[in-house]
Amino acid sequence: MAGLGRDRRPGSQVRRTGIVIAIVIALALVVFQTSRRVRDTVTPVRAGMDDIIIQSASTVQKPGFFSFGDSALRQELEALRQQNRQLAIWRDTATAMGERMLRYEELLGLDGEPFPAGVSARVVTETESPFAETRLANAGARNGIEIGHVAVNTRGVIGRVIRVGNRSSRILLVSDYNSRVPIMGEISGVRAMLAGGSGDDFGQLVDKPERADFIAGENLLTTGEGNAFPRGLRVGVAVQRDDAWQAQLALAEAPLDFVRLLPPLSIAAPEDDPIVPVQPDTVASTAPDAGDET
Amino acid sequence: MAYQSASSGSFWSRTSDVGRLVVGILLTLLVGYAGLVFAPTLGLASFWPYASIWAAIGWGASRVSMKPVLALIFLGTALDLAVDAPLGCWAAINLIAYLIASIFRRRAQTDPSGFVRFMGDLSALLAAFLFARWIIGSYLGGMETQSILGGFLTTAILYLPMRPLYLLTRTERVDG
Repeated sequence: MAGLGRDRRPGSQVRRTGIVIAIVIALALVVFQTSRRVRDTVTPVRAGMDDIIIQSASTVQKPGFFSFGDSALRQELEALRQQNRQLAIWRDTATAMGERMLRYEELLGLDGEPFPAGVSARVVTETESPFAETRLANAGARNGIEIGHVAVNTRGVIGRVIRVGNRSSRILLVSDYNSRVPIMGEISGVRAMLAGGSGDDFGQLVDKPERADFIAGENLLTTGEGNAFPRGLRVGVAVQRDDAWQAQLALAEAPLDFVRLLPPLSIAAPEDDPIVPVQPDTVASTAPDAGDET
Repeated sequence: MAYQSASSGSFWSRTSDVGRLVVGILLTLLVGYAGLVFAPTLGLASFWPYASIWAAIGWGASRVSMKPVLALIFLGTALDLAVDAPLGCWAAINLIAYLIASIFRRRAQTDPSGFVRFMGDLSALLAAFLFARWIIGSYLGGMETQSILGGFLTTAILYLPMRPLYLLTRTERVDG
């Protein structure tokens, strides 16, 4: 192997040097993107790429594109399946609302949360890479989807929208390494943070503020803390594995083909939602008489 | 030796270098697109091959030129955008594989047994895998090797039948 790499022709050496320089530039580019600000500049391009993939994938995945037979029957079957999935979503929503109502009855005087209106979307493709466990859904800004929308399937929360294109949105799954969801046990009330990075089926339960344990098999619901997820949405089931509590994710209980994207119902911070100053005349006419109180 | 078998068919053997490059790009895009759209449905997402690595090794074993380099940068950038990787990541991995394969190229031309070429392709693939493991792990602050191992294994297995489609040269000297 004495001759390996000893191509001494000037042209060849220049080209190889060029390749090495290109590799160094590419590496530098990667290093620059560890800064969120730099990474965000590429976001519109990525959203455009998502749109392209969604558009083409929607076309090639249409019933009948690659298959033959009774397309009308197949379409009707697909419509019924879709309806069934949407009904299952409503069933789970009703369960979650029941839990929330119970809490409200215990805490009289608490302001209620309106049920969020959402958009149903089809998951067209997925990205299985070490960088992100995401899904692409065929609803985007044109359908009113915004960053932060919560994605649920027939079994519960699967993730939240992290990028929006015109006709597409990218959903970061709860199983992703970077995902964090505040949850609580439906029966025990124990709170924890659901962290991804343990595969598609399970999530870690970290940052438990209470010492109490979960109850095996109880549903895990979102707490609504942090304003990212509405309260009371199911995310999975508490299980004990390897002497630690983990969440068996709702994500893995049903196919991720259809999802409902719900607005996060964020509550504005006081500084972002200031009290409108009242005119002195109005105060005088509406305030109770100070003399009566003294 | 089976490994030495070149592409057959008179049309392909008469296709120009640029024509072969275009075919390679289209084939890589097609395989990558199928990986995005169909592989998840079939449950093959974790084992879908990285077609751009085929291109990098095949083109590197053919001729050191800037056209394949630009094509590899383009393919790498497209993959970065599709899988949410930082821009430059897969371009760098492709170029590493291309560079390693090209280092073995001249010696492989005069080796009738095909052993040097085989070792060149294997080294390029291994280098690409280790580099990918390093760069992705560094960027994310840690990663599980299994997340890319399946894809690279499939890439290695399928490289043998795909190799003739990624050779840019028409001379039998390089093909053995």
